[in-house]
Amino acid sequence: MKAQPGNMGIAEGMSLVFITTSSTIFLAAWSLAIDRTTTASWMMPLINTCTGLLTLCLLLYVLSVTSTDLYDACQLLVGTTATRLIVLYYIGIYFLDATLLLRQFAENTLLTALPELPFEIAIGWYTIIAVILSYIGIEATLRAGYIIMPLIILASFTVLTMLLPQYEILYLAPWRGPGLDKVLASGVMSSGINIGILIPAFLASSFQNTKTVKYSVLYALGLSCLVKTATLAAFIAAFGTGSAREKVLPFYELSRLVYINRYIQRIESLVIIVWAVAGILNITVLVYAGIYLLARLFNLPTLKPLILPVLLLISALAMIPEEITSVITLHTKLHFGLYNIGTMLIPFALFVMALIHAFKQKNSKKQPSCQ
Amino acid sequence: MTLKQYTIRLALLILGTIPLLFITGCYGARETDEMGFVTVLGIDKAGDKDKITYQIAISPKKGSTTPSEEDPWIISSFTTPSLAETRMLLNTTIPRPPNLSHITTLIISEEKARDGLNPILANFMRNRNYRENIFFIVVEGSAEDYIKQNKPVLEEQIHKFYETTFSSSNMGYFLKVQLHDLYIRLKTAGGSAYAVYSGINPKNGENKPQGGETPEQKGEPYLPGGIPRKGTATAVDFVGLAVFHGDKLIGVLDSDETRAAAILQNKFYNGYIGVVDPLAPEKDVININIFMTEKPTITADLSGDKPTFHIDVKLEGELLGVTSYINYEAPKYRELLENQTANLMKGQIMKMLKHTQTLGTDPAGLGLYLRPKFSNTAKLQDANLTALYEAAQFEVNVSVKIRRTGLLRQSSPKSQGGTL
Repeated sequence: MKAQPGNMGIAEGMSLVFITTSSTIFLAAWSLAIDRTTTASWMMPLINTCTGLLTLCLLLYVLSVTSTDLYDACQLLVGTTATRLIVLYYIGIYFLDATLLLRQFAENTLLTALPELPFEIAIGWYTIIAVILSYIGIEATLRAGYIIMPLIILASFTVLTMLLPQYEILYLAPWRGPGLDKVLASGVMSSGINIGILIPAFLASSFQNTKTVKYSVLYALGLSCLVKTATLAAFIAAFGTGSAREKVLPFYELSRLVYINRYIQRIESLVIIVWAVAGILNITVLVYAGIYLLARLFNLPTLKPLILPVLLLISALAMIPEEITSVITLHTKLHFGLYNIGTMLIPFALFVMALIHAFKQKNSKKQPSCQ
Repeated sequence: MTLKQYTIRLALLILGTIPLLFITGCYGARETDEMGFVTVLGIDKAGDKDKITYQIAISPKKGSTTPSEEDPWIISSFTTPSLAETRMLLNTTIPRPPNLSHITTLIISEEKARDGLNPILANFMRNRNYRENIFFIVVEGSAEDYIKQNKPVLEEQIHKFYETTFSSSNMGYFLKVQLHDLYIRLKTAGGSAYAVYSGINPKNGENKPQGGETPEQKGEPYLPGGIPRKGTATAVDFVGLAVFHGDKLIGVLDSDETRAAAILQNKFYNGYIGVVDPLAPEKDVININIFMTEKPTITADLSGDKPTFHIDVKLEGELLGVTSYINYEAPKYRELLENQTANLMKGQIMKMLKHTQTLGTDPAGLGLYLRPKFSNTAKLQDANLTALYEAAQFEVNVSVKIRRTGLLRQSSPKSQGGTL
């Protein structure tokens, strides 16, 4: 394909996975997670990172057996029809996720910074920037993401450090929350939040080699886990579960709470820029991944003509829900439900098929030639 | 890149840059001289309605170099059934649209606070105009009168007065309480809500102590209005703590009890106390600066039918003055003084604990130490931590170490018949 991305390294891969897996800290997702696992919610990112690493191992095995990217691996292992279904599923969830993120980030811009901005204009701005970034290409977008990544981490930990006087560690007790079994189950079910870790496998041929994919996912997932776990623990320690579960924007609330003295306060306006950039990059990456798969699915020579119509459709879809609560609830339900097919079931099925494929290949090599 | 491609890209860049000239500034932005900045909000009970009082800052007049004789604020009160209505009505009385995002202090009358805070907080926690770090004060009497009578002398603007007052509140006679502190205490098991308690002092010099001081202390505990003072300072006193059972105001703690609650929460930094001289108790006093250098060690035991809290407080002190001139710097006397001070602080802590048990409120947040005793959140939800606190037993141990003796190495006896 003409628009096949170029030669990406660990930096781009890390940026891709970090942006797609960590930008949820700026949304309501973790506030809703507190409903399920209460005081032990901070363990959920740790658990879903473990399942994410397991998925990575399965995918790496699949890629090593098939010596190709995930799309071609699917064709080789499960045939064309099943591949089309799988890829359609991923296209669907990437576009759906981009739609829900677009709506939430646009709404959050109105809520936190520009209350008088017409909603359509907020959606429009996010869409225009996503279109421009997609036209520039995934490589350039991810390099920009790599520059933003330290800023996100720095901003997060600066806010968390400035809140030290506000923490009450005993709000994290009972330490096991609703019970370790329930926390473990919820943690595994929340694996859908890491749906972005599949994208490097689809773009594997654009990376230098499989090792690049491996280390970029590994490092980015680790960093993302650290930021999410620390933020969630801080959020509970600062607000207690009773108040924390009510919040729409956990990270914004944390930054709004900073009050060192009358000179150091109201720092949230600085953080808003960081999460707006993270949100736009996340939307762009998801849209790009969806369009890329669409182009592969229909064997299109280039994907650039699809960018504008797809993003226009996504922005139109994002404006359909009448109110924000249903969007937040749906997004969380998808994280805990439909997305898990993509993060756990499909990789596991492909792994089993790869095992069978490898076994067959081994046997065929052992059998003496009849000729 | 060919010249044609270069030209197209340059043209696109220029075309993309031109719109930026038209979108400078925030959407819906207003200049600061187009808005009325509300800095203090007061809420009183007015029958079945609320009386809302707004204190709005007046920005300095352009070109003015001399300070104005008039107050740099305007005060407007409205009696309406809801806060939103009041905001609309306020907009009809001032030419500028009111901006609530710079409110620094929320003042509630005692009468209103006794009805419960939940209906009030419902507005403040959801609306982005209000911040969780707004200071929260319960006042004796009317909030409107309090706002009208509070005319700071050292600070020109009222918001700066409150910010400065609470930023330096580390002595323990009152605590810095923000909406956030109050709300999470209402929403989370393991501690009761409390607020700053304030009131108007008549400034007639009349002494109205609360009584109940320990035998070791020289000073008396106070509530707002009871401090014997005169002078030109503002009429408001910040002393004591308004404590809540659930969301309803249930009582107030005096200055000594407030300091004890501050110590148990590790919110006490240093304070000055007059201790009865253990060797000359009738008339002499030892002035000490006490400070806390480590967090109190508090453990809870829930093995019996009643919880027991083991509280270990370590304080340090510096001698500021010994009126008897007894050599308390010497080890044998120093230990006497340390025990005297420790007994004083233990007595005040015990008094606060017993008082709050009677009131059914836990401002020190000792119930938080019970949280780890529950194996899961379902069991915590079933338990009533306030009831457990009311039934609890306390083992309080206070130790005081006099670390420094000020600028004098040792006290010499008072001269009886001439100098040495």
